[in-house]
Amino acid sequence: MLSKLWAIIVLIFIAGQVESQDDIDIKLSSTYAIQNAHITQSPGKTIDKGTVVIKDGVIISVGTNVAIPPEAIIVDADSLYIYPGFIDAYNNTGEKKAEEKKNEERVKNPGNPPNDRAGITPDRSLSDVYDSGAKSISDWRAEGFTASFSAPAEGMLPGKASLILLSGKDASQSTVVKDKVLVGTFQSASRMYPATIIGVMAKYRDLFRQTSYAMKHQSAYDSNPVGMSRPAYDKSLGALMPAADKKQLVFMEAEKYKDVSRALTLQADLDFNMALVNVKQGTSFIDVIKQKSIPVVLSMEVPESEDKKDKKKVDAEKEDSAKDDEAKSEEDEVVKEEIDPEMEALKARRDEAIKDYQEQAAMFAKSGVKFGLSGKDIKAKDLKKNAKLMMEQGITEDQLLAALTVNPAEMLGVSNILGTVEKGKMANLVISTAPYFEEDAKVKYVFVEGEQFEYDVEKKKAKVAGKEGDITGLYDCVLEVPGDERDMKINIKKDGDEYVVSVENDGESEEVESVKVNGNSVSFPLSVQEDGQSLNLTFSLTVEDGEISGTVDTGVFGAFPIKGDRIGDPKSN
Amino acid sequence: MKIYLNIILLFMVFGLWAQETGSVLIKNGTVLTVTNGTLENTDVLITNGKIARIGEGLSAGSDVRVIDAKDQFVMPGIIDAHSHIALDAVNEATDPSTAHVWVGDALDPFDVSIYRALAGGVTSSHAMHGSANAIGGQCETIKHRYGVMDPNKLRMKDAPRTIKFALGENPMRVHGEGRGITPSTRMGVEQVFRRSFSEAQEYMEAWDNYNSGKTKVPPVYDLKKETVADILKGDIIIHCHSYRADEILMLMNVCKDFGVKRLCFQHVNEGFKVAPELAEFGAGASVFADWWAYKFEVYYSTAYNAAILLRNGVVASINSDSGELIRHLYHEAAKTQRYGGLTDDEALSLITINPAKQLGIEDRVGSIEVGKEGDVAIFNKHPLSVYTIPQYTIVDGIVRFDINEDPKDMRIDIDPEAKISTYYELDAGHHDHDGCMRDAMELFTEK
Repeated sequence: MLSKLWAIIVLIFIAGQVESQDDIDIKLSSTYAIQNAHITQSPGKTIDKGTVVIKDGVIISVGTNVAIPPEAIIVDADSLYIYPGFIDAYNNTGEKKAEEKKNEERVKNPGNPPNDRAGITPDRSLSDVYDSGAKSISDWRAEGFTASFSAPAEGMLPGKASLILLSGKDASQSTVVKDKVLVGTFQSASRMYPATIIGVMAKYRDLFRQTSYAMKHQSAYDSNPVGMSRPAYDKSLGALMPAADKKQLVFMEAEKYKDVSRALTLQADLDFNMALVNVKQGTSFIDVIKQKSIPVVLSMEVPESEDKKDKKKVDAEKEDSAKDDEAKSEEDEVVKEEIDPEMEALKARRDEAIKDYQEQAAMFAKSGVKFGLSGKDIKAKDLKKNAKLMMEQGITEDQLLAALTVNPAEMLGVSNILGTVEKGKMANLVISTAPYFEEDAKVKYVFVEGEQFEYDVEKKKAKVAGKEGDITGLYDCVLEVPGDERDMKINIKKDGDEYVVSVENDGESEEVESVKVNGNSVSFPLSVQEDGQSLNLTFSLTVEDGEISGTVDTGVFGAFPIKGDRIGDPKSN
Repeated sequence: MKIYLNIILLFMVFGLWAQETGSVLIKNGTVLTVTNGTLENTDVLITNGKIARIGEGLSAGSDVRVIDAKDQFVMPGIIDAHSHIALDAVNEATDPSTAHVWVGDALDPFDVSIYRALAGGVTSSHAMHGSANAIGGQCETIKHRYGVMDPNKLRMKDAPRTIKFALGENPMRVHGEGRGITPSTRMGVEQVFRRSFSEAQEYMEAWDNYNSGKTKVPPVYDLKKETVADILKGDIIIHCHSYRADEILMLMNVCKDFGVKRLCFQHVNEGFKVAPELAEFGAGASVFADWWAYKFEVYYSTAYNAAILLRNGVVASINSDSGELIRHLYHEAAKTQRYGGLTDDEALSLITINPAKQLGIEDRVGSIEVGKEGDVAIFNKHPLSVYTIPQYTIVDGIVRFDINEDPKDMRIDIDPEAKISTYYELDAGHHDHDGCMRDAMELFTEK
């Protein structure tokens, strides 16, 4: 019941999502000359004022003195910075949003459920779950990512990862290398075997050993089938055979210390070729990883101290209050003096732990281990913020760039076509207005296999504040639901003495009933019908200085924050 | 400033702890060997993790830490034959038999319960699968090397393999009541054992036929049957959750029918009724000192249980099954002197050499003898006195608890995202909960 409601919530807000709207215009030529840019061909190798010429998706020349073909579309990149297009070394980019599992039949025997219900789907390809219009593709591309090593998500053996281009084209056109590696995780199934980590570990052992014997049976049958029962076809075991035979790499998701340890245990027990991916707490294993030459993909998710976040807030508030009322800031100081030593000690240790996570990438780089980076657990737009946290702990820009370009290309066996800005490579480029990792740098162009994507680097439309004390207006809002953000517009107008509020979601506007306005606060219920279920949301909002903020209460799932800017006067209809 | 000093101190401590064996000289203590009586004013020298010498006027190199145990009591490190600490998962409750799972895959070296156990003089424990299934998972005998990060370093290497079985209400409730399958009754529980053993026999035969070339097609590999076959071969000791005397007899009969000899009962509240039968079979019994009436089948109990079992020749021990009781097993053992009048050595054997026997590690730990592993607990009073306080706990020659150096924050791994709170929440493992059923009940709360 709860999960069903949750699915409805997800559906409602997905509906409001705007489809990716990269302009499709008819290009006159597939040849581009990007001129006079600062080019980073590969980490540490730069050209100060150079030109990159690309044709039909391939880089045909790079340098300071190159011939420009007459048909070339000239891109004036004076004062811009060109880098090789980034490669996400492990993610689920391009995966369709999970559909609601409708009336899924109850598993008869939870002790031995069907593989696909227990999260064991090693036969799945990314193309089976691919959506060329997935928001993840355009989001990551907007940050400069042109390729992603991407797999289906969910379950202990979710499927196989393919190298895809983030062009937003269909699966067959986007896929560069299909089903290159097998992905393994430590995710347990829900209410059926394997329901715990001990079940997951046992299931790995069972599956790999069963696969080895199935291969023996098959080869015995192939050499002489007379008098022997024919091997039964099992799609899961079939999909595991290349890995069990050490012909296919296994990407083991191993975030925390114990996960890495368990992955190493399984690898030693079952003898497969393994890479550790989405690693967050792996510093202690650097020596083992080096010694066994295990490929590594570190997570781009790094924690940040809540206190530091709070401090920024407090500082900002303090400034404000100092302007308003000096006596008040004195009050603040009095409160501040009451320091609880136990609390401080706990915070100090917590901050040490945070530092350990933040410096992971720097420690790997320092020890000379080459690694890729995974964006699996972050939003694309947080990439630069997290990169900054990593750089504060000592990883250099070049090392970070290598982790986003040449390292993953090498790890995935595609360094002949990806990872650098060189003649003959695929035309995957990211072009920014300043050195990429600088705070105010913005991505202006991204080329994916020679296809140009242009981004608006202007600041977003300024908000249009209404009159003092007037809450009417059209508000462009963002609702934060776990793991994602949803856009919607809220229109507040006045009809005589009555306020009329409508909520626009997915281009459809719905007027709400029983609006309560009290000063600058507005609240109203919104009942949403979906699939015979209804869900009652309660919006509680406050309007101040052209901004609207508050919460949307969903009942059982709690309240989610919403905020937005006034972008104009209220629409009249 | 002081905070940072504490942190530095803590890391120094951890740095030392990261080693696995050490040397220490304990001077002038009253040594309770458990197997060879009490030695007054005696030194114990542990060298590189092993007890090297026991005697008077011993000396060691200048780099060896010396503990002055004058007026103190030195006993073998306490062993808990039934606990669920240091585990990330306890019950894989999805099937009446989950012999294929192994809690050794879920060891959690960061569990502070290990340190709390050390603070009660406990150096080893039997980290067990829970009792949701008739045949639960395999267990792991661990050493309390708190401070190590690597889960593998908690293992007591080469300790015999053990597996959890369970009789009575728990498997009946989870599978019979919860899912309407066998076992719904105590008869059903027996049936699960008999069927599993029979299937394992067939499985072994099929593999024998394949390996000897009689058949060409390998049987389907099945880790569950592999494990049960290992029980039949005598490679795994059964540790069975049990309360009622009739069921205890039942499992002994099943084992006799299938030639299984290595068997230890856990809880065994009605063990006193069948003590001679247990002794005759050679089955161990690991009991609570005085805990019962937490469900219907545990009403018929007595605090004399341990004493009756022991005096009838059963290898008996007292266990905790709890992250709280594990901190004062010495009190629990002392209760057998009030209820049953056991001697000091008998009472101490319940938490040292006897649990060691039940786990098959009695040649390595459980008493203070030359050649045994350097697992020792030092108390300021006799450990069976209600006034006693543990002072030092030593595992493999490394001092892992020292009451004089006992920092406030002993966590090893800190979740960078967890909310900070100085408020202590009771966790699972307390008696209010049923540790044996961890991870099991939430699976079956909704029909």
